[in-house]
Amino acid sequence: MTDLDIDPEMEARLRHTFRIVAAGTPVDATPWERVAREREPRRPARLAGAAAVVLLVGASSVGLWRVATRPEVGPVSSPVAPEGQEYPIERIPEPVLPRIAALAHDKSPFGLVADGSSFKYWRTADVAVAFAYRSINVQGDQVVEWTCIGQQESDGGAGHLCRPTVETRARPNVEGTWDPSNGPAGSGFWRWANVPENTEFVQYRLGSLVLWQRPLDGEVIFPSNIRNPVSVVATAYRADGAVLQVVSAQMPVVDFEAAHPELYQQSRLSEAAQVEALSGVQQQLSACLSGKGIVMSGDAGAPQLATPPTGQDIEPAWQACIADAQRWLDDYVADHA
Amino acid sequence: MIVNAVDLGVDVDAEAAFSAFYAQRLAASVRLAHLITGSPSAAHDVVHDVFLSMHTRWAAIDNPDGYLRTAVVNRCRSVQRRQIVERLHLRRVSEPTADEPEVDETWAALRRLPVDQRTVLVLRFYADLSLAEIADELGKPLGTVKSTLHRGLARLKELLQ
Repeated sequence: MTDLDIDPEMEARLRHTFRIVAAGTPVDATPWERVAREREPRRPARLAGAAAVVLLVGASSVGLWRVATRPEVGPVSSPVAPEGQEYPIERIPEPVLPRIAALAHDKSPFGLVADGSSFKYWRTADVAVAFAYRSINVQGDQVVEWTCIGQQESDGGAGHLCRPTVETRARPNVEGTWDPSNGPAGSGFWRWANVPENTEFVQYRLGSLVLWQRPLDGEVIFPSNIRNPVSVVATAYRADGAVLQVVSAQMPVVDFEAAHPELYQQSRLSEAAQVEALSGVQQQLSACLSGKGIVMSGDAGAPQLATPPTGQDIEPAWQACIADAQRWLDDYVADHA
Repeated sequence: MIVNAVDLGVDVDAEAAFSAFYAQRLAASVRLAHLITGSPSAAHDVVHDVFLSMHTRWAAIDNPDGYLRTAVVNRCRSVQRRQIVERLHLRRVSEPTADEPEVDETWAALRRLPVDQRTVLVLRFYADLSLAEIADELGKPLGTVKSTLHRGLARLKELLQ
């Protein structure tokens, strides 16, 4: 086929449409200096101020806030002294924003079904409620598991972002995410979900921001800003000062697409067919999980929450139903592509 | 203590050059991204991300215009997966864009095309690239670009009928 085969009338119509739509595009002409400045990572001074506010709010909300797990704070017993400011976190029980409400208030995509047993909540030095969970979604024509992390916002909503779990594993045991709706400058979290055993503290450097934290249940969470072009280095130290592991990345991270092209392949379906396929995958997942004893909840057309009965491990059903939904999607694509 | 830009290792001339490049290319980049993503807000997000990425390696970029366009196009294509899911849950309604019904109708149909097909149409009929240039831009064989263009036009005709 050559360009000469193109219907001139259609070509003229397309050129005219593109010209009109492009001319009507609103352009925010914020100067570069301001764009760059607004994406600066949060500073320790602000963290300290915000932490004080969080403590006041927590104290006035007795009944809603019960500390489930809290690590020791203050000086560490290591011959290597941590640098910068301590950024403590503490686990909290399910807080004011229940799981399904968090999903319903979400401002970002998070998946078709969320694992209700995977939710974890923390209070950090500057965020009242940070949370993480896993979900299932469709990318391209693949059914994939996502890892999500986010924070409750002051207006009662939640901002989160999910990424394929395999992506989070591309950097050793580290999950980082951001969301423009999470606050100023597209800030978010950087979570190291499985620090080495016997880690006394983790030293964290985000550009010029220097923080440290004691692991809590084998993980640490720091403020992040993946959109800002800075380097991140986290170092796990043992009590005797030995370095157990160093994890580093250059932000913004843009090389996942090259590392996992299968996750970024575009769907072979039209957008209309993709929407239909997503609904179909969601129904398939819901039926499959229900059939394996998992309790499904959530409104039609909204994300579903999958909660195993007490004592039941969701993992076998979770993985089997991802495979089941993939088979359904393969058939759908074969019929509709 | 007074710290100036030179102490911090900042190349003042390079910063000024980058700032000027940003100011000159911002609008055109946002328009291109809007046509591919179908969303002005997603377009701004994409373009700002690309400029931030370029800023970190500004000194090493030989052809800023080429780099900018390629990076914007590629990033637009990868944000589509997010928008599809958003659309499912939020059930957003497409807004009319012009006073001309034919333009609205054509734009609505274009937005229903798979992103690869829409991208090729935008690069051919808006950016005025040849098919060989589009193949180079997308890193795909020329034959793939031709068939994508053909399928996109055929689907568009169906949608407009």
